[in-house]
Amino acid sequence: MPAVFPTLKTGAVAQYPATDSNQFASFVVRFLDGSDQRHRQFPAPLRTWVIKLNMLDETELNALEQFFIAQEGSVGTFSFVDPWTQTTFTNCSLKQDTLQYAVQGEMQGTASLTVMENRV
Amino acid sequence: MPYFPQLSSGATGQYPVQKRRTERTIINQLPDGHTVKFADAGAEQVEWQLTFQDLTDSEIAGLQQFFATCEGQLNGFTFLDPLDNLLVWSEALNEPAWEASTLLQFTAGISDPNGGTGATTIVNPTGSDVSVQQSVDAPGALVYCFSAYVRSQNGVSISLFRQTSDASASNIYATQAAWSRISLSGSLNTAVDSTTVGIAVPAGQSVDVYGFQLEAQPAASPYKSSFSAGGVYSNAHFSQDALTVTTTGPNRNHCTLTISAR
Repeated sequence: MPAVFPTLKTGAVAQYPATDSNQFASFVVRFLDGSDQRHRQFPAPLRTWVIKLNMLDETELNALEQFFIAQEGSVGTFSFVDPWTQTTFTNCSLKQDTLQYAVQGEMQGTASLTVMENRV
Repeated sequence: MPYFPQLSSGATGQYPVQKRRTERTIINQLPDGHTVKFADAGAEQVEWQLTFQDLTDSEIAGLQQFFATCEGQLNGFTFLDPLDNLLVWSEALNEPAWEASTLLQFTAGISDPNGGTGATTIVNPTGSDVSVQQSVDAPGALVYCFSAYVRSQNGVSISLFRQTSDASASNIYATQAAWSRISLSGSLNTAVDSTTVGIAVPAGQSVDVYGFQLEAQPAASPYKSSFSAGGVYSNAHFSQDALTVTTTGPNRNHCTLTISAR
């Protein structure tokens, strides 16, 4: 059973502002006459979500850090629920090998994680 | 091994604190988007940026002296993460890190005050008080707060304790039917580099426990679960060779320190 991306105490995965994107990969050959020929490299786009979190308490930050440790950065795979569509993506990874968070005061923690869908 | 000093308040750091945990992954990305990944566990690193403000002259002198002792980045020291639980396996009392009598009975998977099932019921069927304890390679002389959530249907009196080979402190708490958080705070007059904390369960009684946490500060912060690694870093180093101190008035000094550890 794959790991699951941790939720906040509210049950939410993400906060505003949240970003998601679709990644395509196109191979473009350009010719001298200005025309081009294009090939699709990815069979389907890969989704990426940027999760920016703030006003977290230390328990929530700790849950994120433990998750990051368990994933060994970008190595591990886990299940992620798209916060827009509630679709479950069963094979995702973190896109980063560094987790940086700051604690400005009590319940004022900030962190950012980028989740990417893996090609299955 | 020298250890990072606490401020006069007993705290290791002040807000804001930044922490950065870095892993290294070798990734081979194929044209169709598939990836082959390998973890490079040896490259793990943790880094803290501690910003200190309004330190007294004696506090900043202590930091400067410690920095000089370490000769900047050269020599290592023990650093206790101010953002982490110093204990390991905080919810797994059956792990070897916890020392307990084989006569004690543990039942894990009990509902906990945070909505999970991380609590444990401890039953002491013997005729004498029995304890569960964990030792941490952290200097005994620092200020610590050892905390845990407890409950019991019988109003059992349990005790938390902290001890080294030559000093100890403990306190007795009456448990309630609802979860309550109890804590034992203070420092010990000792020079020993190891600290043991634990809970003693009275003879013939049972108690539910959850969320053991040890922190190098005077009061308990929100509970942070821990697994195989705690917040004790026995070979930390400064990431800088110069310590710049700014004095903004009498007894008002500030500086920023960056510490890294593996």
